[in-house]
Amino acid sequence: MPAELETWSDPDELWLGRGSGTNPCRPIFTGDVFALGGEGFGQVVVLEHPCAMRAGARLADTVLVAPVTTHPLSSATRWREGHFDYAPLPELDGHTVMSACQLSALTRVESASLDRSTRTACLLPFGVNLLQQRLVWYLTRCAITTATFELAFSRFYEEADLLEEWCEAAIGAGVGIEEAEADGEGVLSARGATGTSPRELLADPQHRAAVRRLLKASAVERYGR
Amino acid sequence: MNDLYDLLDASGTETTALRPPVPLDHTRSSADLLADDAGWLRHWSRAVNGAVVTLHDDALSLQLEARTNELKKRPLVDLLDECATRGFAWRDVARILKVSVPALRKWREGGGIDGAHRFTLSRLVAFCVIAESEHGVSDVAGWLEQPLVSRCPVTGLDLAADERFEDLLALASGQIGPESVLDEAQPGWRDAPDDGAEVFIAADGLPGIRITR
Repeated sequence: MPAELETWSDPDELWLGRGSGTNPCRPIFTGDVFALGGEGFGQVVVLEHPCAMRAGARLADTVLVAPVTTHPLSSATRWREGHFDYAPLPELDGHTVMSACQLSALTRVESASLDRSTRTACLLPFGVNLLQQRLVWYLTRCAITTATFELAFSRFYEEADLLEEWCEAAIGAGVGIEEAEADGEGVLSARGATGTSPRELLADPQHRAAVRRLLKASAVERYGR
Repeated sequence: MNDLYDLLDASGTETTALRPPVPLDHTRSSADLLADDAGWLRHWSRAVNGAVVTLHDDALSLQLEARTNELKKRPLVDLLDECATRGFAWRDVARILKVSVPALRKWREGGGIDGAHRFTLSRLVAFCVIAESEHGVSDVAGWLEQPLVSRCPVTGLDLAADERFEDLLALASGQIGPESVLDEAQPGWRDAPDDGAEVFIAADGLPGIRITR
């Protein structure tokens, strides 16, 4: 069966957290929505690919984003058929309002302006994959399935989850967020006796549970939780 | 004209046009008898196999239910810790329990859980315990994260999210194959969309996607 643009059956399939459910310990990631509040901007969604966004724990100086607006098209299935210059963000506000990001208005913002306290939502991996699918379609008219995006980039989703948990433990022990992220990055990058780092092991789904166990044990050892 | 109409118009019952069939020889060869016996055995073994499969499925359900009922008595924090120490991702646990990740975080921080979700969480842990102790699955979370077959992205976690724990136990026990489980759980899995793309490792050592046909 040829690939085509996909959609959602329930908006909850897309969102990791919205509003107060957004965890400030989570690293800034593709699909995060921020309320910039500056002149000319309301909310923006981060579109930069996880590979290009950061060097270690440090974010790149600028990050690719698209502005978020409300959109009249509410039907999930109709989004497959058109409005290709927008990527839908259903129930971003936690209610029934349809929002979407405008792919024809891509821009870069200073990463310093992306403050976690102004983050209003984070996407689940399926939501990020759908966003990437839509962006690639808009730019190239090439339909890549969300399953292929998942296969290629799930290791980065795992990294973000692991860093979020690591930072929760560190902040609970009184460590600042930047130091916590740097520590977590250090543990992920450290090569063991076999010369392989936990980050590299995340490439293979069968090792991910072991990496989670390792990071949990390291966090307990370092922060007591 | 000696055709069917002539025959139908013919008066009386005597005619030379119609002849009685030649009776078959009723003597059966040993090959006939062997085929008969083998066919009967095949039928019988299929019936027995069906009954045994049902019995085994029922036994797996009972085993899972008994373990679940034991585990339901344990504190919520212990059940969640059982998931964490096995290396489950919280978003996967949330998906299996059909709650949001923030809701799960509240439980981890001491919030109350309703009976239905406690039951599903207990069932997940019970499944892990049985898979480990009875079927030798040493890393249940890692096992569940792998695709069931190489050409389809459906994983054990997808089946767990559909509460198909009995199917997973049958799979872990080696009694059924992954394709049979997929045929039952996701009948259209062989027709999954194909974008003609493949994942490859680019020159910078990171994954990329390229079209191959």
